[in-house]
Amino acid sequence: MTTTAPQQKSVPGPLLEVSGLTVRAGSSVLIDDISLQIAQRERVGIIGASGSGKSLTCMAIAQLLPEGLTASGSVRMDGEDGNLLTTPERRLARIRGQRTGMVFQEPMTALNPTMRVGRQVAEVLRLHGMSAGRARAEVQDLLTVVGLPDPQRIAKSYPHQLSGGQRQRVVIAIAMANSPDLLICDEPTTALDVTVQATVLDLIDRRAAAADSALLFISHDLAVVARICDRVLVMYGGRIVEQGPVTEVLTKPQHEHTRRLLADADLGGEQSESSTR
Amino acid sequence: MTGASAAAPVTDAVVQLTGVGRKFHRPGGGTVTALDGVDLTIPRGSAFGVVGESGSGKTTLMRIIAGLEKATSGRVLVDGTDITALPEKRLTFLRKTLQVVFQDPMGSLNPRMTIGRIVAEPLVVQGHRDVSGRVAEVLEQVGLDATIVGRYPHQFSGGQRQRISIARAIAPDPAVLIADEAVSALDVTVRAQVLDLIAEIAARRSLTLIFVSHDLSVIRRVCDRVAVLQGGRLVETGAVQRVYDHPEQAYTRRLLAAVPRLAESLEMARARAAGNRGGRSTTTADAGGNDSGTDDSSTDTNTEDAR
Repeated sequence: MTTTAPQQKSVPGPLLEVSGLTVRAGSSVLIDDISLQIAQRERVGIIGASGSGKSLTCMAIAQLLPEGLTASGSVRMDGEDGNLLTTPERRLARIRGQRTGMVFQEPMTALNPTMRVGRQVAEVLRLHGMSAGRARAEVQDLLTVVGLPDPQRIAKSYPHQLSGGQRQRVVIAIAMANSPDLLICDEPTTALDVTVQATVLDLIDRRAAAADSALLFISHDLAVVARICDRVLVMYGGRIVEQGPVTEVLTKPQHEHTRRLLADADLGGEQSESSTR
Repeated sequence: MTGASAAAPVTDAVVQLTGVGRKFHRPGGGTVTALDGVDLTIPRGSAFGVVGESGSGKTTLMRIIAGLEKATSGRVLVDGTDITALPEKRLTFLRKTLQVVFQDPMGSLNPRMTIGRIVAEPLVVQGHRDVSGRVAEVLEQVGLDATIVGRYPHQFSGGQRQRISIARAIAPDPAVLIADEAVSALDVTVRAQVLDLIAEIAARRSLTLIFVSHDLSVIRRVCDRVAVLQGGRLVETGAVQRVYDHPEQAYTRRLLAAVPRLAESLEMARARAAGNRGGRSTTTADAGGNDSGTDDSSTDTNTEDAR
């Protein structure tokens, strides 16, 4: 892996270092001793069948595991002291939103249905120390930057008054509000129409580049992962079974499961046109 | 608009729509047009895809063909019978002619009923003579063991549940099988298997398959003909190969171009990797400017913003 951290800058070390992460539900092991690193500004994708542990890995890293699941091992972030898995919630709340942003599949669940969109965006800025007046002006900018038309009207709207694509743009505006070092995306375009997906992917790509954010990006769509990410991890049964640059893993898969994912994803015959099937 | 379908000589149509429209009344006044003047001919024995994004009217179209909803204008012939003119009671013939497999098997399988009763239900309604024999037969056809009849839906995986839905749908030996986003809720690895199963059953039983989906690659995999809907109108229809390789309408082209293709994405990833030496943010900004596979990415944004 030589394609990651640019050499001209003195990079202090990886942005995120996960080692021996294990997630359990009671006695059953859901994530089994995984380790991974994300360099500053690096874009890492996770692929794998449902139930392979992709989402749980992200949730464990973001300290957002559902009730009843426990994580062990360590998650360290550059500039933060100690293991995030044992960090008190108050400090985590600051890290979330300021240093990490999150975008999930269903924008409706990430937004508060009873609060106007503008206030929700402003809230994130205010929580992290911005004055009310500045936050109000900043909201307009953020909504404009994510490509929402008529940001003044959008700011006054409730989430249900927006289309799915517009809602996801609002979520991205919130996630990117504080230019996080790490943006975590879990199937961010899966619920969107295909023409809308293209524009939202473009937006994530451009915003992450502009803010120098690293990405941890989950998708079941291998073409989407290759479109966005530099490196990809393949998960199977709670373990990372293969990893490397997307250009290698998705063209010369080593693990049987990766080959399977590639074959199953190839419905339209993109591959079968060039090879036998 | 429907030039392609009119041009193709259709000897035997199992479903024929003429000027079909559907308007809904808004609670607060005004109307919404879900379908507008749709002319469509579905040849007997074909695997016919209906593709469109949300709000295109594909679900309304499917529901009208299945008799679950009434058209507000136009005519719908199913197996030669005009179902728009039929009173509710007379629609029972449709249940024998036409069966639907829905997206979410958990929502369409009664959780309190055993698999045996679920699959038997349409047969019992029809007074079939050998219900249990037929249930065993169709379960085997969808690749399930006939011994599962005493079990309940929650004991099965998503893919197995969708197989059960398919078994129930083919049990009464329908002429038309409608699949409404039938694989959209399934995992990628299971999706291909269930798609192949549907295609194989349709071919073996000489069924007409109507496959409704937002997913262009799914339609391409199983269908020979396709109709593209947008905003309640039929944009384009024709042989799958022709429409996918040589789309006539701008919307179809835009839709096809928006589907991420692995080869193209990998090309971009290679370009990024090569450009990374020069600094990542500039390269990605460049890639962002001329990617998305289309020259009308600005119109994409506008279309979406308009919603």
